[in-house]
Amino acid sequence: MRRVHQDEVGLQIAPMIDVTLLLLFFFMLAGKITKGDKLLDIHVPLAATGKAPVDEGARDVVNIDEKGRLFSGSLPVTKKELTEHLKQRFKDYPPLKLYIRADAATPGSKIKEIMAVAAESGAIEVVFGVIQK
Amino acid sequence: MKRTEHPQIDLQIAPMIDVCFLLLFFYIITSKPVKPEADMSMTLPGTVAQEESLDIPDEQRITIQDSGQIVLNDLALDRPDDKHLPSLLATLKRFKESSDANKSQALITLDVSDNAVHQRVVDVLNACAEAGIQGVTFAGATGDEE
Repeated sequence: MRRVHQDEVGLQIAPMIDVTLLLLFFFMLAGKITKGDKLLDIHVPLAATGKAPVDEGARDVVNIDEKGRLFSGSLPVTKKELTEHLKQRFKDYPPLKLYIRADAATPGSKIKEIMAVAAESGAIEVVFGVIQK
Repeated sequence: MKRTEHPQIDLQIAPMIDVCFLLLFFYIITSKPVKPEADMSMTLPGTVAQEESLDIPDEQRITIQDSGQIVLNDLALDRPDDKHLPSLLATLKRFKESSDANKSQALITLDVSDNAVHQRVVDVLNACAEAGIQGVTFAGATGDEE
């Protein structure tokens, strides 16, 4: 009786390594990019009418944590430093939007404070960061 | 002349794959999905004192108290823990319709108490946006509170 020879199905190592390395680099880079946000640990409020951002480039980000501390990007700043920084930014790159990422538990006094800073610095449009419900 | 023979060095694939997989699983497990944020924008006319803004006819004043209670022109609306603010939304919609009929801009002045939380401010901004009102200002931000 003649034995039927089946084609041997081999495991292709090379493409598997390619994919593995690609995934590895993706997770390594993604972890590094989101590290800044994790450090601040700000939980922005929920809102149903939040719209997906159209242009994320032309905006200056101000973070406010739940205790009301101000951060320009991830750098802690005082109210005076922030005002000076924003004045310069609005002068150099008009029309710049001010993107406020305030924690849902931030006290109202700090929100009023940042609005006053925005007005004093010459901001025209203020955007509050929210999570869509 | 005798040629010197070097031992051949092979690349060990198996341990490399092991390490890659270990690193990959580590990053997959430790990665936290980031929720995409949305925009809630408002155009700033600047912060105004309450005395000035009350003279403008088509303007309503919403006070957010420390407890989260919403007060529209001295009238308390909705419960402090109600996120949807149905009464405020209905009133704002009527206000917007009336302003449109009069061909004037609907303006809202927000008077936020110092200890009211930001989520409550966003709840009110959300109601304003839902009613189609874009003119919102913050009162008392310059220290001109009553």
